[in-house]
Amino acid sequence: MVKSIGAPHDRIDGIPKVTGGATYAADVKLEGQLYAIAVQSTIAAGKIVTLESASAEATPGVVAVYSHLNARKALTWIHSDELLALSAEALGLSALPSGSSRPVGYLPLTSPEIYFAGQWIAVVVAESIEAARHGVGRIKVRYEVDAASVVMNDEKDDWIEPTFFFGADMQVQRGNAPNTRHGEVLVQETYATPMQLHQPMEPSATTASWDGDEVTLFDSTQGVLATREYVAQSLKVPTEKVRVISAYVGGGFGSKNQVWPHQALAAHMARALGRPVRLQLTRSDMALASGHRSYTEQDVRLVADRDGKIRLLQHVSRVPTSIQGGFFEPCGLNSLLLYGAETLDVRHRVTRKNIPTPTPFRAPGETPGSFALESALDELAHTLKVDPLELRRRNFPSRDSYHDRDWSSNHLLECYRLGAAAFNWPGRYVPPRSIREGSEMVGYGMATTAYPAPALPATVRLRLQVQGLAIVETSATDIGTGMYTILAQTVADELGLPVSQLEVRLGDSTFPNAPTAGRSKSTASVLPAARQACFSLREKLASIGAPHSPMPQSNESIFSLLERQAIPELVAEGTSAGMPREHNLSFYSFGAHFVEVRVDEELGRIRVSRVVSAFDCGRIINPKTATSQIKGGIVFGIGMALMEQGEFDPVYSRLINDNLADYHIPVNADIGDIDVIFIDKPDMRFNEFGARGLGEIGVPGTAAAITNALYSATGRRIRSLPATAAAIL
Amino acid sequence: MEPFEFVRAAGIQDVLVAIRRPGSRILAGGTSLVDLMKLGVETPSTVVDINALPLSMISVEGDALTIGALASNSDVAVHPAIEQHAPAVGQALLSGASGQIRNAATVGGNLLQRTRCTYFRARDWPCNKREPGSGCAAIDGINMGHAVLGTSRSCIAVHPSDLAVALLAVDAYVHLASVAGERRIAIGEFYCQPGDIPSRETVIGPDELITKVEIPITNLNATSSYLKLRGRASYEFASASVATAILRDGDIVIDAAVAVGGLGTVPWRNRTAEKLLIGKQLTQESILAFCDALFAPASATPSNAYKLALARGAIHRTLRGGAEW
Ligand SMILES: Cc1cc2nc3c(=O)[nH]c(=O)nc-3n(C[C@H](O)[C@H](O)[C@H](O)COP(=O)(O)OP(=O)(O)OC[C@H]3O[C@@H](n4cnc5c(N)ncnc54)[C@H](O)[C@@H]3O)c2cc1C
Ligand code: SF4
Repeated sequence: MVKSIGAPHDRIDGIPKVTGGATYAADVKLEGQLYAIAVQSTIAAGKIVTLESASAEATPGVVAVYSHLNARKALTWIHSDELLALSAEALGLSALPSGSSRPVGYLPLTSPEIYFAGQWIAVVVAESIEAARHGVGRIKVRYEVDAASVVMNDEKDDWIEPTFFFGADMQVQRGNAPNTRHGEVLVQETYATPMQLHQPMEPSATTASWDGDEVTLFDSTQGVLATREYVAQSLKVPTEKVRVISAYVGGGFGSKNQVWPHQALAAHMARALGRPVRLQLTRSDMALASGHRSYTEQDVRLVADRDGKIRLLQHVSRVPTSIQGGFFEPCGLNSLLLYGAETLDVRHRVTRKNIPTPTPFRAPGETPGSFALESALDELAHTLKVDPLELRRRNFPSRDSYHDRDWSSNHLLECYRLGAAAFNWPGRYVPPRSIREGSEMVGYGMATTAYPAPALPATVRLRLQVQGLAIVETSATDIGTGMYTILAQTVADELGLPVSQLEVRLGDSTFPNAPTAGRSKSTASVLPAARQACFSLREKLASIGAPHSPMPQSNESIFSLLERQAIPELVAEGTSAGMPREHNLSFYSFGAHFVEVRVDEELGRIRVSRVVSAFDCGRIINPKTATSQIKGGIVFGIGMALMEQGEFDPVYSRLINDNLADYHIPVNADIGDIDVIFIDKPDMRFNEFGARGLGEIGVPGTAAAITNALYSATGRRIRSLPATAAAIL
Repeated sequence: MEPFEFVRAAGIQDVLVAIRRPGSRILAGGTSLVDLMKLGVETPSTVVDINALPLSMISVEGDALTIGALASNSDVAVHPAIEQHAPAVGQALLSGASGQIRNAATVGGNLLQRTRCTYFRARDWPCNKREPGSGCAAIDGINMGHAVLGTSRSCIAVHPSDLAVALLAVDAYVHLASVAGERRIAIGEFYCQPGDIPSRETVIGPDELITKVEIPITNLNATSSYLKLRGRASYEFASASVATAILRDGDIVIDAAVAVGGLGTVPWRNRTAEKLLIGKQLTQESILAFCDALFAPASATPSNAYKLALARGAIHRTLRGGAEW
């Protein structure tokens, strides 16, 4: 039988998704179900003085209104430190030294205090979603307004120096500052990236339904187990009384990675009202109630020899977090690893602002950080008048000197070589404004990307059923990444079955444990577990009389074997180890983007006409879904470079573009040719598949490659994103 | 959304009577009205569906091209008579919204769509247009997309319609009907600058129905074209747009019409400035002189001044020929 792994298999969940067969959280409609919508604060700091809900409660169809006035009693909706520790608000708190600034014990609907505009202050529950919305419009709130601040100020703000986050020291100072000898070259600039919104296609929703003392949540989450734990803690019920189902997730990008209060609130309301409740987040809630990528400001200083060898890399990031939360962008991560400067000064400073709590967003840290780092590299190349690609080659990090480890495998030079060849990269220094075609200036830019390859233990269960079906179960989620498909491919190969005889079931907390889908770790966590499950199943089969492995060679089908033995179902489980146990290696993926832009300066038009990106992500399990992942990441990068920008009103400190009419992301017509190349060399020291995850690595570097190309085209250096018409005119 | 009464009108007279009720609103394609109702910005007590009216014809009558108020933006965009006699109109429509929206959107509704000012579109900001006297959040707020022409101290919202800009360049008329009778208004007199009453956007009365749009068939209009500039390649309102028509005798301009969109509180045109082009060749200098006159009354904020540069670029490019996206 032809191996399925490595083949460009179509998504097995593709047809159900495009024909309505896939049930998302908000598709669930239960008997007697109620609908809930939240009310947002319109002020960014202060206190609720009065909240009048009588007119909302009198609105036809409205069943209940909950706020800080009644939620504690009516819903047993109570803040606790244990609950906070499991929530999205807590991520990063441990990196912020206590004493520097004390985070408040925050849970919406528990106090009249307002910390950011958009904070949930009430929830309206009704017989229909329309009635709920109608009720929302009738809540009257009076506030006592305090001064709010959403913009960073280097001098005036209180700055916190975070310690350790995302596996790295946030204050790295290593090596001696080179005394700037004669002839060394300096780049010293400040780069800024904007606030970005995840806005996955599917807005989050939680439908909660009780049966006796057990509750089932139909939810849209990247992690059903983390959600279960949080919700159980909030409800004060044993974990096993909570079931979380998230079979399909219409994109998450990090907004569904942590647990947010709505996921528990739906269950509390359903319990209090004795009916199923769907709590629906609006588009605006998706901007304000499930995290975002914060804006950043980053100072980068490079000192290099005349031949381009980087001696000092200084990267100091100023980033905000919320008043009540902890997450901040660890922008310096890639600066610790790439380019091997002997002197590193990579630090972070955090300040609290009246903004919603930021959260991981597709390649957090690396994405904004690489914009600064890769732009600075380009500035250095132009100062030295050397090919930006050649400059990167000269600074290739032959090992991970920050962690003092060898790479498990690193084919970055091969990415440079293959990407450049496919792109037809000039291969010599091209001064800016060299190429004009008609009314357009043409420019080329490139950037490196790198992303860690983590893995966590996971368990997969196989159920071989006599009627001819093999069921694969794990609590892992497929957030559009292709997990359904690659799991099927893995099991198909190991059991010698066609994919059509497999049924993959994901995203149910009653299934065996698997980590949250985030930080590109699912492939490396779940596939080895699936393989172990296959081994264990084969052992069981052998014990009931199947000829010993390899199974595919057996002439009796495994199903007729079950039939002969009168076994209706054979069940086996397999667990993966997570990271390799004994190692002194650094596991990373690498890539290089090459971009062509065309700029019509008279009309302020910027087009990304061509992108070629080459990646070393180990072995590719499914080149089709892998290519889609990377292309999606590159499209994210195009949006970041040219359009995306969450904006706060300067007077009211409120996000103004909390909707897709005003927050622009690329449309199809904005996307030119994207060519994705995989080196496809297995990293056998990482796992037996040699595969590393690739959900995020497409994003970092893309924006810098675009603005580098813009510089090449026009001679204008964009250090603050997005690069709009206004920025290039 | 507030509850409302829904009336499906069978004939024009039904409509004209129904819309005399205070708080009534006509529903055509609904792409603008229903959106604003969901946002709580429009709160009609009666919605009068006019889709059953026979108002979707596109025809040539004598020396005029007429387009029924219910003709869909998609149908008008690709109609051969439009392409022949007023290409700017088709191009403007095709540059707007998305295929699905253009299928539903009508010509009458397009002309009466409301501004995209973010502060207008959410109920809880101060906005003089939505709630007279409450203030204008945009003036001291985020106003990168706001108007630089025709602004007032009470409102700086841009008029959003691409179609209206093209119609202004081709000197179209809007036909109105009410129980009192019919009238015809030049599109140049249809829209009102905000002044002190930004809630008043057009001269149409609350009891009037747009029945059709009339475009004179002229040699000038047949030369018209539309260029729209914006941050992404499609599905976005104009940062700046320009509808131009030029008639030349050899190198010499004998007639010209230039309307700009995305810059004004109303679609913008200046006939006095156009005279600067007449009798001249289209050179860098003559175009510059025209632009200087056209934009002389502009008042920009630091964040929307770029629109003037964009519009100048667009005018230079279209008048010299050869701009395509
Ligand atoms: C996502 C999106 C993007 C868009 N992009 C663009 C764009 O790029 N450029 C652009 O120009 N437009 C754009 N539009 C606006 C679109 O063109 C308008 O929504 C549409 O033309 C309105 O037509 P309608 O028939 O749906 O109007 P409706 O929503 O039915 O009505 C709009 C208004 O006109 C009134 N009305 C309708 N018909 C009549 C009539 N015959 N007589 C009197 N009053 C009437 C209604 O009462 C209502 O007040 C966009 C819209 C959306 C939703
Ligand atoms: S610009 Fe006009 S529409 Fe916008 S907020 Fe001000 S008054 Fe309202």
